[in-house]
Amino acid sequence: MSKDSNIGDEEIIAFLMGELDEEKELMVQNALKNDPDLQKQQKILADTLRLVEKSCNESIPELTDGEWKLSESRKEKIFAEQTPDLPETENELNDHPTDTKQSINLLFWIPLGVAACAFLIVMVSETNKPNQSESVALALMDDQTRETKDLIKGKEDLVPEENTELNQMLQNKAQEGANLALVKRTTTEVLAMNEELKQVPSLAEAFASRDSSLSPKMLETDKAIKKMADRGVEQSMNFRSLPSQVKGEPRLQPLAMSKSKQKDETSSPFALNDRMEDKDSLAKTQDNQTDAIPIPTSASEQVEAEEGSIVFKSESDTVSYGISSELIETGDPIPELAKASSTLVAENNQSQQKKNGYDLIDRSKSVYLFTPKAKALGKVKIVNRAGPKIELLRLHETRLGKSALLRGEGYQLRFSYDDEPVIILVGNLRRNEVDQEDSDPKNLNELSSYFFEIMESWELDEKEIRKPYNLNNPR
Amino acid sequence: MSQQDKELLLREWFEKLEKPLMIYAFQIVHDRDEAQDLVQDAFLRFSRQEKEIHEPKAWLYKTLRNLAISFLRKNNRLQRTTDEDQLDFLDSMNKQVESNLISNLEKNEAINRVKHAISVLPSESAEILRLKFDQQKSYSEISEATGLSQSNVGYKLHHIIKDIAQELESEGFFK
Repeated sequence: MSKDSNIGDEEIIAFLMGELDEEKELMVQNALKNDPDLQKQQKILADTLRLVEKSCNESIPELTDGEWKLSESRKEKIFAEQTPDLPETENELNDHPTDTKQSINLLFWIPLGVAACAFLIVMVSETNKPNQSESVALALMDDQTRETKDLIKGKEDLVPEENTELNQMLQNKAQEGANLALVKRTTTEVLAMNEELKQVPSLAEAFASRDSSLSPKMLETDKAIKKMADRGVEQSMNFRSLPSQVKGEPRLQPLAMSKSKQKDETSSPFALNDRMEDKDSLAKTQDNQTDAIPIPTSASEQVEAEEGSIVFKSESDTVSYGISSELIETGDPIPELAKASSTLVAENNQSQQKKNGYDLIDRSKSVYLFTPKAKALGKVKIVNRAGPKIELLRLHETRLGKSALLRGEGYQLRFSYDDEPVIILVGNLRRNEVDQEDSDPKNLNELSSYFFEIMESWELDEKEIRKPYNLNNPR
Repeated sequence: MSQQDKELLLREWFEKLEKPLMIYAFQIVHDRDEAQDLVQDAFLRFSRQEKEIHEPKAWLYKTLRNLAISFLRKNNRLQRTTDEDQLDFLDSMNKQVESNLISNLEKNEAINRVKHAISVLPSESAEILRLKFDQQKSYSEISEATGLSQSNVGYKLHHIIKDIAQELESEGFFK
């Protein structure tokens, strides 16, 4: 109401509806002219009157009979939210018991049914499948063989002109072959091999003496290499036709042979010609090894690098032939090979000085699995590792139905230590299908085995910030 | 505001507005179950509001109206004149007509709101409005028709119009 003129809403409404006499109408008009608040109020009331008039001219919806109330369940839901003790989900369950429970049941029973079917299939086909260790070993071997073949195919047309190129290729092949051989060897064999190698006179001593009985053999080796170069790469680079030493089995081969032959072989470590002539027997030996050797273990952990011994580092892809640096200075009859070997020795020594990132992985006590969206899946146990491939067990896998869905990219393994920063590995996770087939049927309800292939590696610094982490060359 | 105060406030406004809001939602969507869902949703949102709501009635009406329009948009549903007018109405319309009608609904929100306000008035007040605006009667004629004094007619009309104006203003129709 206007303070000055005593004009209020009632007068304005009567004025707008033409219900005032002339005297009052003039009063209201004057008040409206002088009072902006009244003008504003008059505008609102005029708009409202127009809307009411328009509404009255249109049909006003008639209310049908019926209870204009919410159902009891809806009321309960509204007021249940005000009770802080009850979680929302619980209230929702109470309000819509049939719908929600049905969806929960479906979520539970469908995966369970699928898991049961998978279990039955595994049980039925168990006897027809090869054992796990064979499968894994074969799979790894197949992968490496395929990679090797691809490499060879890519270089088939190249003809090396100098011995250095040939040596380089031979080194590469030796590395690949060494990895392949290590994959097939058990820890015991590797340790036994190292023991034997310690007993062999060091190559440094052998090369140091011009009169050594090894020298003629070395010359033969050099000739053999040159001969191979003359024949061309097509023949020499063929993986199947390569001699055993070139395939990466120069020193490991004796382990798979008879003891008498081992002595001969170890006493003449560079007897390439002998090996070249024995391709068929080598192939047989390889096959036998493949059949006999179980899951490959992390061989690099087991092999201690020492001067005079042969070390194959599968992770860092370096090969050491254990030739001392003195060899190069003695005017060796096969300088390129010695030089190449010394390079490898240097690389190996360097890698020995740096602590390998895989060592940290292998000694971690607490490992946790996370989804690509960083949802924690609980603790896992690393049971095996071969290079970037890790086999693990989920320790707290309570929902067996859901666990079967765990596969794909971007899964994370977090390794924590007392004295080191947290390491995060990102990679592909897949369920170990072979695991259940191979295991005892009584133990099928136990922990599930998975394979994890490392794609990325990170570390968390003191401020919990991620930094790239090189597993081969940590810091 | 404590949890207890919030609950008291919710109960208070639920008691006051359960029925009118149900009617309003039904007048927009013409489906009793959907109307119940919308009103429930509006009250749930009201109860979950962290900030203090200064005009709960306006807030609830505004929220319900927005929910109803969203529902119509989402489901391509149209206003129907009566509850019984269910059959083949939508089917006969093409999508262009549907969108026009929804757009009209949005434009005529104010008229619909006023219609709703009139529909929930006491019968005597609704009759006075009908006589004044539908039959264009003067205060004296309305007085004769209703048996109320002329000043009482003016007083009642003033209150009806003022209340509607206040509701519309608080719900933001005059901004």
